[in-house]
Amino acid sequence: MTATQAVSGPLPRIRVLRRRPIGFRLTLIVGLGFVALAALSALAAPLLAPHPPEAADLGARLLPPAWLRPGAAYPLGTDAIGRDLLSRIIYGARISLEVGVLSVAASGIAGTCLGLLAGYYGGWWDELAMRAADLQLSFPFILFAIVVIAVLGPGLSRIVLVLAVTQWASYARLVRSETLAVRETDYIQAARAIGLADRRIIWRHVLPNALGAVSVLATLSVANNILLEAALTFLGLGVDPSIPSWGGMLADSRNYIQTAWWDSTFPGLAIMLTVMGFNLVGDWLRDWLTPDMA
Amino acid sequence: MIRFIAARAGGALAVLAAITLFVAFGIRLTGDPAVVLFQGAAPSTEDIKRIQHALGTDRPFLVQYGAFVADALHGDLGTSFRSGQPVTGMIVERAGPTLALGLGGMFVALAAAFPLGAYAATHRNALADFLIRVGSLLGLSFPNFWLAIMLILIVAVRLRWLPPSGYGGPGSLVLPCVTLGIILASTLVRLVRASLLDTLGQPYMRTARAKGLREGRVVVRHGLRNALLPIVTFVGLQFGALLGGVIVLENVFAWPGLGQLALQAVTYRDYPVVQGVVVVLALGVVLVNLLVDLSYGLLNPRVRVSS
Repeated sequence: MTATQAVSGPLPRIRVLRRRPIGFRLTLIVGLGFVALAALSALAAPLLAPHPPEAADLGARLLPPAWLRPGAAYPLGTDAIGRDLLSRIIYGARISLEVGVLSVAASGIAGTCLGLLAGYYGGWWDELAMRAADLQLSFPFILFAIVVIAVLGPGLSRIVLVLAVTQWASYARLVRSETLAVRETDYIQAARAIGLADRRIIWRHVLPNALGAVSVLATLSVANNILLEAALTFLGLGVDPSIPSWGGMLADSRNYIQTAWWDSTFPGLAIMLTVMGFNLVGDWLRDWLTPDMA
Repeated sequence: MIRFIAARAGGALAVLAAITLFVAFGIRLTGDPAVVLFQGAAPSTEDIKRIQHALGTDRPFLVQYGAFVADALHGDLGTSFRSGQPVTGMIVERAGPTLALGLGGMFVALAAAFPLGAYAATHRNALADFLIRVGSLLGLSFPNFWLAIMLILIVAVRLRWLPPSGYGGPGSLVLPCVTLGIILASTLVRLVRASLLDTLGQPYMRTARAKGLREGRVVVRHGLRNALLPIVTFVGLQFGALLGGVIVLENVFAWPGLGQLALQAVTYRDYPVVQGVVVVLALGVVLVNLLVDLSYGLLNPRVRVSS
């Protein structure tokens, strides 16, 4: 019989046929490519930028990109006071990544810790943390940002603060539900039965189960927070306008939209590609962790 | 059902109380309005005391907050530091354009996301599905204000089809609403697709087909209708994000709405106006969320029973 044959011989490896969406691997490669490009710009800005980002050449105001005006020293053209657009875009990557990564780290760590404690111990602490999370999530982000910036004034640290405070609740909820899902499993019960300390159980057995979902949320949040920072800076509620940032460059370009299209096109392209990079990596992570959802 | 409504309304009230407390407290941290009124001139201590008394800012915070809530319930949100006009009147004047933009954007988003999402779900992993997914990803990665600038650049500056900015006439609504709609639809289309894929795998879909219903009818009547629940929740929760989009786009399109009013008030440190606009907008978002919660209970009897 086939059954005995199968048992006697070496078991054939069964390849589970999972249908990945079209372009599954491409997603990761393209995404990592854009993220790497932004990270490289941020880290090596002084080496890559052809001009200092603040150097204004008043004789070369609003010059078009080099391919429209051969012989120009400015590859992507210049802005209204003659600063090199490419150099400012390269330096601008610093602000975007700084805000994106710092805000996600702050809210992610705080939210994960709260979620672990709430899910593992339950009780009044759980109730308190979840009510606070509900409250935070029902406060519209933009209104929270307007009030905080009106009170504290604009600036990079304030943006990170606003983003971190408004987003911890998503992590707390996510991690809590993951914790509840594993809390009653046999291996956690076993760990408890052999007398492991709660701290060790949470750290070594509960947290690793939640990290997958957290990493997806964190990656997508970096993308989202870069967008939010750019929008706030564009509105004048964000980072200092004297620092080169993509949102600030777009705000500056608005008066010249009729004459200098490059001014309002390239900084936005930089935001879009970077954000898309993080979104692609996040999507890939999610599909990879939960194949049947794709 | 009545207990369900009462619980949800109580929750909404708590949220609103927390938001107004936060706003009122935060605004009072920014410094003494009596000093702000002098705009840099050096007032004497008596002058300041007199003005504090006139403004009522010498009373304890909770008393001031109570007075603010009582006045707000009578429709009085205070007086603008800058213009001296009542804040309520300023808000009423600006509410129309904001509502027009928000509802228009939502309409465009729903009109685009449902057919596209349904098509992607029924043609899973086909080329069109891939293209719709890529399109949604692009939409998610576009900064909304940059999409607005690009549309202005192409449609208004190059082609001269529509006015680049300003409010007035149906033509001026098109660009802002389409921009907002594209951004919202990018998230929505993914949700419609995922939610519909979920229902398409259910046994009742096979039953519907076995009855001999046409495929289109099966998808719309049995699939989409059941896929609607998570979508309704999501659309409700999106109102906070929608508000963010509206405020940014009002800025790009020089739209005379509430967002512009609030941003100008922040610049001029006109705190009664900031406070009034934030409270009114928060009220709007909380009410919409409450309505969504309640409609969820109506659409899905299981929710009512379990709560």
